[in-house]
Amino acid sequence: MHRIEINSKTVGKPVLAEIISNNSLSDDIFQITLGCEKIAKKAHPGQFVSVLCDDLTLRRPFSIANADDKNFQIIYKVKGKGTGFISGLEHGKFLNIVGPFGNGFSVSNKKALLVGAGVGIAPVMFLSKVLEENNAPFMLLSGFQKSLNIDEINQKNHQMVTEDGSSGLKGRINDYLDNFIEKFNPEIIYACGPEIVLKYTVESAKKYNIESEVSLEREFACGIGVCMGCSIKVIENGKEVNRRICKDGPVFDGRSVIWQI
Amino acid sequence: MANIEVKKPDISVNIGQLKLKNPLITASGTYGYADEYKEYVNLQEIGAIITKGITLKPREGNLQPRIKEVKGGMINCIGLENIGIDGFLKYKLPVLLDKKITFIVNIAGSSIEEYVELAKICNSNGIYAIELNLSCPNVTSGCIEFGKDKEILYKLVSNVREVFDKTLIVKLTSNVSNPAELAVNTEKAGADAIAAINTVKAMSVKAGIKNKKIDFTYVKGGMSGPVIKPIALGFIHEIRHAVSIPIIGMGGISSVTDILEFIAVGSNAVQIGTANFTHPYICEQLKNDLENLLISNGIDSLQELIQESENDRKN
Repeated sequence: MHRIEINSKTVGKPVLAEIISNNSLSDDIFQITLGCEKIAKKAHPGQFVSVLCDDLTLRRPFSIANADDKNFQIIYKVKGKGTGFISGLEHGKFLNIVGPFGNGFSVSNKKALLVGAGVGIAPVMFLSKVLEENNAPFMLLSGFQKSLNIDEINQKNHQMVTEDGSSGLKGRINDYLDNFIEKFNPEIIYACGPEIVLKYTVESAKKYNIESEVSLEREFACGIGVCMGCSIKVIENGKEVNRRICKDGPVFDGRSVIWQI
Repeated sequence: MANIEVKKPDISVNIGQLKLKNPLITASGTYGYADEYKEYVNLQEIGAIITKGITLKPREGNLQPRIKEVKGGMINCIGLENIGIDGFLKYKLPVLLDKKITFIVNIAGSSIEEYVELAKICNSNGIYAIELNLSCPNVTSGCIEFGKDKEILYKLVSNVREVFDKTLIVKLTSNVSNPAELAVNTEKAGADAIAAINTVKAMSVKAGIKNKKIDFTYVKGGMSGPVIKPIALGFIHEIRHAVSIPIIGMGGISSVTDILEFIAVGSNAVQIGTANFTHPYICEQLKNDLENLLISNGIDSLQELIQESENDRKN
């Protein structure tokens, strides 16, 4: 159903996607649903789209949080002018979008632990939906500063952790990760969130000898692999090589990443 | 009703021995090695594509962060990450030749000898146009240093001229106090055209107070985008009277009116840079916009417009 190999020819010209809804999930986290069959049909968990925001020079990239045959979703945190602009848009307005871009998560029937911290929940939420459709066994561990309610997440195999304890377990994802790995015994871990959470997740995965895939982020200008703004170093076949997050990632084998923190 | 066929204006431009279908050229570093844009534009329809700056050996570039958006533009400090001339000849050149894409190879070196070596390699490998990057602010040696000193610039360009007999373009920086002198020496040394301006040295700072002290992070590099357009226009206006070779203007161009402004101050063609990142289809769009603008004003050829503009400046 969802292809793992992304054919670069599937990307196309920018589209105007209609805003179906744009709701706040907390003080600063929003979930927007956009009507665009072209992007929705091609979207694969872990891929992103680039959104033109008002008169800002560069587009803003966002992981795709969900997609069906017609619409797709983005979950974003209002941090600056771009996200501020998007948060002010109502149903019926349009956004100029290009994508989907990048290589997403691998999808298999392996027993999977999904880790999403903050707005890093977006791509793993999409992945959880695909795994559910494929009847693959998985558990989703999400972490936020405070309680957040996302209707699209199936609560059956979801555990939330909040820093203020307002929902689920109190603390941070890192506090519970090893415990979850031991209890659930996954074959693979998929993660997205702040780099410190990803680093810790990969360390845990290594400790238990589990595969891991992480979705990374860096500031870039283009999203299509030409500006070289998001180039990072990873280990491939024992050698350090440069890879672009936007084009070669954003999802990388956790063991290959050379952490900068 | 009968179809009324509107005759398309001639917007072709000659730069040295290069005959371009139109004056739209993609700026180095914003178009990769061209192939990356094939899903957005008809690459054969772009006047010319300038490759990412190529060095003798592959370069890994600078550490992160490499990009910072500023109001009206962006700052980059990529540090010329590229696959090196051997990688280019092996993997990228065959695609450009095969697809009949008009291209210009941007080359950068850390010594005059390196520029000459690169130019020789280009000359013997079917590369019909090069742009000398004498203006990158993001590498520790070479590039911009050669573009600031009129004697070194003259020596470098004339040495390259001796080994490269096809179209030679020199890309200059605006981070100088004597633009006209540098332009004159570029022409004297035998360049076919000047491209200007490269990114402008700049710094973005993010500051706050921590423990009663200012705590800050920054990105230093080259600024591009609409924010540098006035600097570019001023630079080109200043060098236009000093040289007779074509000038390829650039700096924040994102609309057909921007193109007119660059022609007004003396450009013969233009480069599109940062706008490609935001609007990957923009070159094709601008080509159509330019044709339509000429049609709506009853102008048959872009050269007429450029000539008129030159006459006006002289009068």
